[in-house]
Order: sequence, then C-alpha cells, then structure tokens
Amino acid sequence: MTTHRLAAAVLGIGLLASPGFARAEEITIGFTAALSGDFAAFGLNMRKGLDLAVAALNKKGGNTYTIDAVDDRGEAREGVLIAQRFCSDKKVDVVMGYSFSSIALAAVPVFNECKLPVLASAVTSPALTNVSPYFRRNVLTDAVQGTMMGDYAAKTLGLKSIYVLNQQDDYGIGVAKAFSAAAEKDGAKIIGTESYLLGSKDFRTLLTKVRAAKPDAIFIGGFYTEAAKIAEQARALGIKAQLLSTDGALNVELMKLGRSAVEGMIVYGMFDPAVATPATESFLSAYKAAYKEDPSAWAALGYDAGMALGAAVDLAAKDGPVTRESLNAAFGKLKDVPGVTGPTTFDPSGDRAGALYFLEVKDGKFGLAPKQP
Amino acid sequence: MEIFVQQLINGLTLGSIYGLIAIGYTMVFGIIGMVNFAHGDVFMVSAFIALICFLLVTTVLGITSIFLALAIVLVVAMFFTSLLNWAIERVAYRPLRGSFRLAPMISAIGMSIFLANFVQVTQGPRNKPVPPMITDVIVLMDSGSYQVTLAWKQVIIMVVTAALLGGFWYLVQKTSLGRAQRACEQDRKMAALLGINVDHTISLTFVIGAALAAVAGTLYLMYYGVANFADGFVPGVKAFTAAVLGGIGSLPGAVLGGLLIGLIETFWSAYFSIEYKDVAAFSILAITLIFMPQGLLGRPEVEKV
Repeated sequence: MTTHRLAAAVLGIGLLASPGFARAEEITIGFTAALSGDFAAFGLNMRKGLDLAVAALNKKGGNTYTIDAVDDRGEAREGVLIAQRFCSDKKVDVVMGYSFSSIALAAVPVFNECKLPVLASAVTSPALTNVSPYFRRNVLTDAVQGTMMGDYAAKTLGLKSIYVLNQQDDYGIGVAKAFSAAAEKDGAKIIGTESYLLGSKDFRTLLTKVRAAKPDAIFIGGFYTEAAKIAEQARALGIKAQLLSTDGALNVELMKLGRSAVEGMIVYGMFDPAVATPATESFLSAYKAAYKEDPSAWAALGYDAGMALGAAVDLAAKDGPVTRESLNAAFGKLKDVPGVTGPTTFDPSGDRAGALYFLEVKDGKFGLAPKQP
Repeated sequence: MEIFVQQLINGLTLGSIYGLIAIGYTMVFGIIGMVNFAHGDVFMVSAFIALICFLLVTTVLGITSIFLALAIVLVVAMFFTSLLNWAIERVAYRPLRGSFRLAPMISAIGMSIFLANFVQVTQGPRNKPVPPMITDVIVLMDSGSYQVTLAWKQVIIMVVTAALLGGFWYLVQKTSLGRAQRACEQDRKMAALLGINVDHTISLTFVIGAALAAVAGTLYLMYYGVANFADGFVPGVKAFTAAVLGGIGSLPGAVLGGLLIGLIETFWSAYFSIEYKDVAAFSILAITLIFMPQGLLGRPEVEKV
C-alpha cells in the first residue's frame, strides 16, 4: 500500500513539473554483480569503472546519480531476489552490472514485469540477445567475439591447423563453436576439439593427445586459471604451438599463474590500457589516480555503461521527467555515445557493435599483438 | 605405441598420488571402521602448508637447491599435517567413540567442510601458485615424430610412493606398533585387555595417515604448481574409491586401487572422452560395491559378535 501511495506521490510531483523546464533528476542505479567469491574480480572492476563515471557525471552538474549496490554472490537464486528488490524500490531507475549470464537470464522476467531497464556490462551469452525490450548490454557476445578471434587466427595469423580446447559450460562451448566455425570458413583446419571442467588441474592426458596431432595453434576457450595450467603443462610436454585464448584469460592473474609459459599467448578484449588513444587517456589517468592500478576491460565497460546512462538520462530529461519507461526509450535512441571501448549504439536486440583488440603476453604483460586485423 | 606409453606414465603418476591418499582412508577404516571424510581436506591443507613452507624456504631462507628445499618442505608439511590430524581425532572423533556408528562419520563431514572453508577464508578462494620446480625431462623413446618423455617430477612421485609403501608395509607387518595396530583392528576390546593402549594406537594411525597425505600434498603441489581450497574434494573422493577398489583396510590394496583409478581415468580420457573421466572413475566405485564389496585385496568381513 505504502509503495503505491508513494508511487502516486512521485507521479504527482512528476506531473507538476512541466516539460522543458530544467530540473535536476535524481537517478538511482541499482548495481548488482558477484562482488565476493571466486569471480569477484569482474564485478569489482565494473563497479570501479562505474563509480568513476558517476563521479564524472555528478561533477558535471544537473542530474545527480547514486549507486545502490547488492552482491549476488554468483548465484542465480540471489539474482531473482535482487531483481525483485530493485523492482519494488521505486527510487531505482536503472539496473547495471551483472557478472554472469545465467543470473541475468534468471532476472530478466522480473524486470519485464516492472518495466525496469537493464544495462549490463560483462554478460556475454548469446542467449541474452533479443531477450527483452528492457535488457541491453555494452559488451559483445561470445558468438561475435569467438567469430572475430576465429577470423583473426585463420586470416591475420595465417594458422593452418588448430586444436580447440574449451571449458565445459555455456561460455566455453559458445565461444569455441563460434571460433571453430569462423576459422574453418577462413581455411584453417580444426583438427580436434576437447572440453574440460572448470577447476581441472591435470591436462597432461589431454595435451598428450594434442601433441600427437601436431597443431599450429591451440585455442583455449575458458578462464585464466585453466589457460595458465594448460600453457604450463603444454610447454613442459614440449608443445611449441601458438596459444590462443579469450577475454576470460585477459586478467593479470594469468601471468601470475602461468609465468613464462604464457609468453606469446594471444587473447582478446574490448579494452586494454596498452591501447592508449586520446579518447582513453583521461580515463586511464583518472582511473590510475583513483585506484592506483590499471583499468581492466571490465572497468572500461562499466565506465562506458555509466556514460551511456548519462547520455540516456539527458535525452529522456528533454521530454519531461525521467521515468523507467522514458529512460528505456532513451537507451534505444542513443547513437554513438563516445566511450573508451568505442562508440555505443544499441541494436533493437539489446546488443551493440564494437571492435576487439588482440593482445599478446610479452615480458609478463599484455600488450597489443604485433598483427592486428 | 608411443602415445600409449606416454599416457601410461601420466596414469601411473596420478595413480601414485591417489594411492598415497588412499592409504590414509584404508588405515583409519581398518582400525576404527570409520570412513574419514575429512581426509581429502587434510590432504588439501597439507598442500597449503607445503606451499607456505616452500615460499618461506626459498625466499626468506634463500635456499636455492630445489632438492634440499623439497626435503625441508616435506618434513615440515608431514609434521604439521600430522599435528593437525592428531588434533582433529582428539577433538572431533574420540569423544564420539562408542557412540552410534554414524556419529564420527557425520563429524568427519563437518570437519571436511570446516577445513575447506577455513582455508578459503584465510588463504582466499583463488589458485595459489608456486614457481615451477624441477622442469627437466628424460626422453624415453623417440620415433622421430613423437617423443615419449618422462619428467623428473614423475620419477620422484613414483619413487617416493614405492618407498613409502615399502616402509609402511614393514611398519605394519614387522614392528610392535604395527602389531598393536593389527590387534586393535581385529578386536579393540581384547587388545585393550592385553595391555595395548588403544587410544594411543588410534592416534598414531591418524598421524601416519596424515603424514602420507602430506607427502601426497607436497607432491601434488610440486606436480601441478598450484593449490586451491577446493582441491581436497575430488582427489579425496577418488582416493576413497581407490581404497574401496583395492579392498578397504588393505595397505597394498590402497596403492593398487590408486594406480588402477589413475590408469582408468587417464586411458578413459585418452581413448574415449575426457568429459566423462570422473563418471568412469566413479562407476568403478559403484561396480566394485555391487559385485566385489570386499575389493581386490580385501578380506571378506568377518562378523564380529
């Protein structure tokens, strides 16, 4: 009852404000991601990027932004509860974050119900394409990224025979499938595909098989933990093939775990501090000043999501008070919002177009790979 | 042929580690008839003790000889893990002795969860790496297109396992401690009447089991180069399977079972599908329990009246 009355009051105030009359909006961002546990790094980095964007937007004046953050601990069950909480909290205008596709997928029906727009930054499952008119993300899907990597491996690097290893889950299978299809279309031969479980440590059996097949390259569709182990054991077995991996391996932990074995491994991501363009420079220096570390791709995407939100709020405010509905419509109308991962425009499917950087491990650091498409 | 030999080496190494852990299960079961579900986690803790000790030895003490460092790490890990397992037995199992049969087993499950969570909280949830050690390999066969290599690490693992099995077989068969242990295994009450300190013997059994788990933990760390709080579970359950397959209560059975599980897992992944390797390993557990409950080298259980 109280919420209904409150909503009516808010609506009343909204009606009082005439369109075109400049008034400051108070935007509350519901932020949810895995902020603790094994894969907390993605969520914490997104949060840092988003915080930076919010600080910049608030400094600009006009509309004010606050973040209401909730840890989903990487559990889909929590995701639904958090979604319901954001829905019933009328102050929340938009939901951001999300570390896991499965959690976002579980939460989407709840957001449909209360027409709350979502702008996610780290969930890459193709299953989220076209899932809802209220769901958008500024990260490329696994299918798109895998395809780009496949093209890169076959065309740019000219690799002829590739052995594909992937993590046995939606992420690994999705990205490996897209990679293999693209690489084969471009003339490379996929000479074998095997999958492994997240958390595996022993790849010697698998790699003994790989060594017998003598591939030019091994593609690892998975996270840095296993990518580092595979690299180490492959080198120990005397496999000299080029190692390729994904954005799941784009993490400084890769070098801590794999050391010299991961030298020369090529991964991809939508952003890297090594790629300093004029557009990214102010972000880089602000981020370094605030957190004393280099921003990751997830921090960059969180920052860009914040900037896209700022643009959408400004757009929505032109035609009257910002509501969940008008904000959602504004997201759809955004065109080429500048950002550190390139311009953001959302397709009707909720996805965005963008470019990938291919990065090579050199002297224990990620740097731009010498060959770019 | 070359690939077969290479996979055989992989399988024997893995099996040796399972065998070392399996001895701990088998000895405890033999003496108090309890499956110590916390044993896998004791193994995991020992890997962390070894990791911390290795980093201290190489950085603070500055020891560069890898074999000396490993020897120190092994002794330290064995000592602390034994102490831990001794304490666990005192705190979690001994007060429940004489209670109903399931009580210590449930206590062991609780202890397993406690250890895993304790390590997760204090050491963090991520993989903890150590620098790669002993990276040299021996080329066994070279057919021109395919080299069969045997890493020194693998040699060390197999040799240490064989030596320890010999040592412990001697301990159980020939020494007074072993006699006391076997007596407790056969009839605890009678052994006590004959002047054997049963509590002391059981404590020592836990200490020995933990020492072997610590050897396995150190070798595991050396072989894979990382430790993780969740590492106790799967190797622990596989070692338990190995103990059941070999005949729970039998020392040579535990090692034989460990080697077989290691080989089955490796050859299954090599020639069928790697996704199903754990399914293959655990199917063995079910099949053994159905058709051969006493295991390969176990004695059929004598009904104690």
